[in-house]
Amino acid sequence: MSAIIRRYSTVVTKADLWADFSKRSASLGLKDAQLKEALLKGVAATDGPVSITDKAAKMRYASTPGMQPLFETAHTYLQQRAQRTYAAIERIERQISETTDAQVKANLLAQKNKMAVSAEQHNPEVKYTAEYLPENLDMSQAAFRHYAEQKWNNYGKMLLMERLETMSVIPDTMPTLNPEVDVTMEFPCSGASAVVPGAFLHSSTTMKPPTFTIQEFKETDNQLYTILIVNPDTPNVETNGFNTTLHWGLTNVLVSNTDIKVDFSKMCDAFGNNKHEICPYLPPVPEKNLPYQRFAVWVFRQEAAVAVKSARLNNPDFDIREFAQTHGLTAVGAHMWRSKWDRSVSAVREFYNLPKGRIFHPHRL
Amino acid sequence: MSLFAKVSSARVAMRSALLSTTLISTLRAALPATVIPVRTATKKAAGSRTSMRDSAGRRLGVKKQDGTLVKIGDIIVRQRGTRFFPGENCKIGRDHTIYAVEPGYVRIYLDPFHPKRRLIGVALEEHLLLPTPHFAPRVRRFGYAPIERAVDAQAEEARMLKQEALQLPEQLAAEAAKRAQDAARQSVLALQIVAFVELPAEEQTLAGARLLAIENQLRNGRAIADAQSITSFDYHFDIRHEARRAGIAPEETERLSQQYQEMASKVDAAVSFHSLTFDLIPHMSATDMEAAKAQLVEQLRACVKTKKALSKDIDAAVVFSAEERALLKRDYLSEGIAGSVKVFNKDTRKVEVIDAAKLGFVPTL
Repeated sequence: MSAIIRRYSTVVTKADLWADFSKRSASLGLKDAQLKEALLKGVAATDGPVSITDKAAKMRYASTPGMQPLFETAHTYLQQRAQRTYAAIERIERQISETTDAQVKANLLAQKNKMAVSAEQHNPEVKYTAEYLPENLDMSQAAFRHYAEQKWNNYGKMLLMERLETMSVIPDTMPTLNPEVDVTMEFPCSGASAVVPGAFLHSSTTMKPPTFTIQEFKETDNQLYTILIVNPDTPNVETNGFNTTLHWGLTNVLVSNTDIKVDFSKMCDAFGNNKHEICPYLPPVPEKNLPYQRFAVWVFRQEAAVAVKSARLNNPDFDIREFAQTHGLTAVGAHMWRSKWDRSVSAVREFYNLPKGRIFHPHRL
Repeated sequence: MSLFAKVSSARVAMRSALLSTTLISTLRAALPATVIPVRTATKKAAGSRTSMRDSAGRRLGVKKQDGTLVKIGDIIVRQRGTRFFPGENCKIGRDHTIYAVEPGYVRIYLDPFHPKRRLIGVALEEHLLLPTPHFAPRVRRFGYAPIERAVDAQAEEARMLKQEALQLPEQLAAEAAKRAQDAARQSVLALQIVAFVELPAEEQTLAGARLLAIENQLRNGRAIADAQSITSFDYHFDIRHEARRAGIAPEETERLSQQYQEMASKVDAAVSFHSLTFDLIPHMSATDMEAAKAQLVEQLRACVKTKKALSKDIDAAVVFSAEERALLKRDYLSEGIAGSVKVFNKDTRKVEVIDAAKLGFVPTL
């Protein structure tokens, strides 16, 4: 090991790019000075690492002998590499400002994003923040977005796709989905916490509209979204089949990397009037003895601001595919929940002045 | 050569030519002339191990041809092993029998996702072909019928599973208790708010309800601004639907909404909640809050400083012996430890768990 250190010590000269926040965002560094020192300067034998909370385990901890000089060498080497990457980013930025072709510009932006990740992703402070302090990540930084996306890819995205496919939301609503944004949903009026995709929700929980968060992982600014909630399991007794009902529609919702909330303070004015609604919220009101109904939340990226023709929405069989196509919408995220008849459905119907629900024979014919 | 000899030699030649063509004849020719086959008297006493074991035919085969109309449960194929696999709207039995689970028209088809399988499915409509295109919505039959007689429907609606019936009283009691608790808390808040802000008597109950809702949101871990916005939205949403039910004019609803919003902004500007005890506290602006925080931290720092200085004074004082110094530090400057500690009691000869705060010093174990 000491041979490696000696070899690199001669090659690598001191660089402190990652300690310089004049051009870089302050969020890329650790705020806690004690934590920062422990991370970069090694751990004093008596104090132990900050990441270990158990006192006994902290006392027991011993760093590998010779680790600190090796760490410092690697740290310097990585910083020099990052410095070269930052120089390349500057070149790309100049090219972006010179070009007028939209396609070329988009490609350059993607390239720049990739390089911004590689310049910071091995920074120990960034890595530590992404790993141990994931609540307050600054999503305007490409490196943090990269780590957040990795985490989402490994769990949230897979879970969502599993639920959408096993419960046939795909292809019963939209043909398929390549998820690009992390969508979360909650029903704050009922005091419920974030919903796991596919969960069964009580009708009293879903009585009032939900709120969402839409997390983009690519660099976005002023991106507009459309959110539709559809139920492909509305019974149609006449045709002995099912209709798709539009339960809620929001258009032109503005979301950026840092402002991800789609909550009431964003959607509504001071008197609770929702300015993004294309149809008022219709809560799930399943009828007794029928199988569960699926409620699919689809999040679309808009190309531009959308004006919706309301005639389409009154159709008893709402065609979400046609809607997406005519308004130039690209599905980038989804969520779902399930509802079944319960004893609160009648109260929900009463609240919304809906007709009394039918009662079905318990056995399928 | 005589004629007989000629004929016999020709016959011999012909025979030998004939015999040479078959294996048996060659073997026979190879036999010595002295071996004479003898038939001994034999009688097979029992049948062979494999004879008499052929069962009657199992009547296997395709029972409903492609395009045949079938009912639910109709057997389409009887087979050994899976010559055919169950496709859409079909299932496979224990003996690989394929039967219909939906009424419709039999289709024998191939699926590009399973190129080596022949599938049997049931199309719900005569004009439909299988497999259904991969990205197209599934064609589903509803199959339930509503109960027409009002009396029967009412009875069916009231019907409960045993588990639900058993849980109901407990659930109702819990709900009633929560309502009572909320009502009590609301009246307390309505009384307390008067101390912070001047409100007309009719607005006090409304303010109490708002504060209760905010408190519940805060207890769910929400930020104060979010809690306030959700509570406002909830009220406006409720009142709009209430007006729709009761047929109240929209102007009246608007007036009520406005009135509520005025009250809300007054209350929000006057009070906030203690983050630990959830008691009402006077509202503080963010800058005031930061200033107060900084002041308190400064006080704590000064406190620790004086303690350190005193410790130095005791050390420096010439009047104390070493023992007295230790006692003084133990009694007045000990840091103490939180929680419970184990102490060996010499009298009872047992280890006792004692509250560290009561002890006042760190015991040596």
